[in-house]
Amino acid sequence: MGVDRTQHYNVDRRNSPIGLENRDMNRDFRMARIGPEEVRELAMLARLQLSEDEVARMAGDLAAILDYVDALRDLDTTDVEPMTHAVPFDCPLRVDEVKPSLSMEEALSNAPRREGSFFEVPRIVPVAGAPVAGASEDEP
Amino acid sequence: MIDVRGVSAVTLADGVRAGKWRAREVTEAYLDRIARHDGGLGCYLLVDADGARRRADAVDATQKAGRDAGPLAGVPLGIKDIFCTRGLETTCASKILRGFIPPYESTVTERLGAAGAVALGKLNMDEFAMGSSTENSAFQPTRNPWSTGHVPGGSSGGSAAAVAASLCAGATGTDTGGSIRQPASLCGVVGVKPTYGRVSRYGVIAFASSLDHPGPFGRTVEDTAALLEVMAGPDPLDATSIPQPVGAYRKATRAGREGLAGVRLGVPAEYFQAGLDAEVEAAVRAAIDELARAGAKIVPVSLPHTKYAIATYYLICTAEASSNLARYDGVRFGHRTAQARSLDELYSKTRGEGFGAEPKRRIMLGAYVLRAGYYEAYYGKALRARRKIADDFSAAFAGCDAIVTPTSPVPAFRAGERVADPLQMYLADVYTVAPDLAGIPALSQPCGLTKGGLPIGLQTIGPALGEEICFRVAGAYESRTDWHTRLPPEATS
Repeated sequence: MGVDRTQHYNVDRRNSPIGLENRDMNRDFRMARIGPEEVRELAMLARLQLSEDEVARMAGDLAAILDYVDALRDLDTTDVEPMTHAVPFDCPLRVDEVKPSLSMEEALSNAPRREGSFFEVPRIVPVAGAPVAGASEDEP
Repeated sequence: MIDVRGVSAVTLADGVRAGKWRAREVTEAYLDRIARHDGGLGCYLLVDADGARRRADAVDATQKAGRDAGPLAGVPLGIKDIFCTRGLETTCASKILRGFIPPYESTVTERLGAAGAVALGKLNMDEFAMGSSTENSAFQPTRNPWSTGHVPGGSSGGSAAAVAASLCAGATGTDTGGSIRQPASLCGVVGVKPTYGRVSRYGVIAFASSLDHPGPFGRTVEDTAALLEVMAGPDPLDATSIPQPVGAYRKATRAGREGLAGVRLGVPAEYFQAGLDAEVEAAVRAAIDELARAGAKIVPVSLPHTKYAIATYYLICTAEASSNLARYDGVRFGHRTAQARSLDELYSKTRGEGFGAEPKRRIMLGAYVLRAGYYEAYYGKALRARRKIADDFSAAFAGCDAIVTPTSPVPAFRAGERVADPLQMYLADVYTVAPDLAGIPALSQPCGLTKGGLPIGLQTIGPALGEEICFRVAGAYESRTDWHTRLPPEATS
């Protein structure tokens, strides 16, 4: 250890998160494992705001963990059925009947913000006639 | 006041049912111990003294009316803060759930209450059960009662430490990669992870759904058997709960006291290799010798894919965690950022502010391994490796009835020693993750103390729904040794 793997990460479009599907999974990842750009991209996908310090630390931590789990590549899993559940599980269906459940008040009781019978969130759709945030008024 | 230090839950329930003690005075004795000793240990996140007194009084009223208050009548329990308790703050030791008051009760705590148990409060843990030292709690660390400079293990460290220090007569926990057995081992108490689906997950805050196993902590093997008999069983509110009837765990424990004639115990060489502390190895080998003297036949078995267990576990649990933790968005419950102008900002700032370092790491790793292009190489590969690890156990159980191993490769480590290195922390679970991946039952019980006075744990692993053989073996060992009677020094607040 002692090597900062993030320094090896080459931020160009071929290695950027955009082109992940094209990566050859059999090539050696050790040189360009995961860098700040990819961490930021993943954090955006996970809706997780990270500080710049956190991004740097995360890149190092994830690279070390991914190096460790690489050991699995030595294991031959040809023709092995993936195991998604520890016990046989056949998605049983319950009888579809109305039963008492939480009242609306109980269901809303932990809402950080509510309005009447609704959970309140920031506005998603623009108000009709109002300028859209970020758009120029000169646009046709 | 009753001196409840070191008293077993079964003794307390018998005493309350026989009219020897009132549930209220037993509860008062524990509340008094918490007030005097928990300041130096940090086991409890919340003590519900008024609620506990109310529940104890209800037990006394039932007994006074000539009715039986249940098999756990008046037994004061600590509840890991991952179990939802109606009307009582439940945080999972995370800032993102601070102030969350569940409007419903978990099946486990509901059943324990109905059996006469008295919940004393909520116990500390690693945030979202992610960790092996309870240092990842967003609120406070928990100390090991045997040495306050050492960790109690985790993630159910508050549960293990509270039982060890007699701050409750038993406790609930959850085990996803070892979170019941590893802290039980490090604190010198008994912890049981039953078969997957044996205990309902309803109302247990989800970490990795295919791996989460609720289970009990106790001072003795029979205490955990008594608790599991109440906690276990099918539950219409958990589609993964299994329908088979609950076993006779207390009876199996007592059967162990008659010896282990005809029982074959497998010893896997893979669990006795480099990395195993010499004192731990010596104690566990001595325990296996004792089981042989009890009549068991010791046979070598092989679990050849053991070395892949940690890697497999971290790929699967992070994938499931990133998905489960998507629900914390600042809209319906829990923390919400004060400054968000858009919905996306509401999500990302709420989550960035609310989650600690380890949940963030696991959300990110999970998102990474589930990405298009990586999914098959990481997550898919791990699901196949999981099958190989489970098949190892099936093959081994063709030649033995249970497997005995160390629970943890090392005794309790020093506080702060591993917290900066996530991989070192993950390796603390090297002997406990495989039974979680396979979904099979496993139990840890005390089997020695190091020269430095730290507990050592023996793990007994059974086949699916083989809880009874685990209890029988553990009952046999406990009846022939006195490690379970050793108590840690009294902590000062």
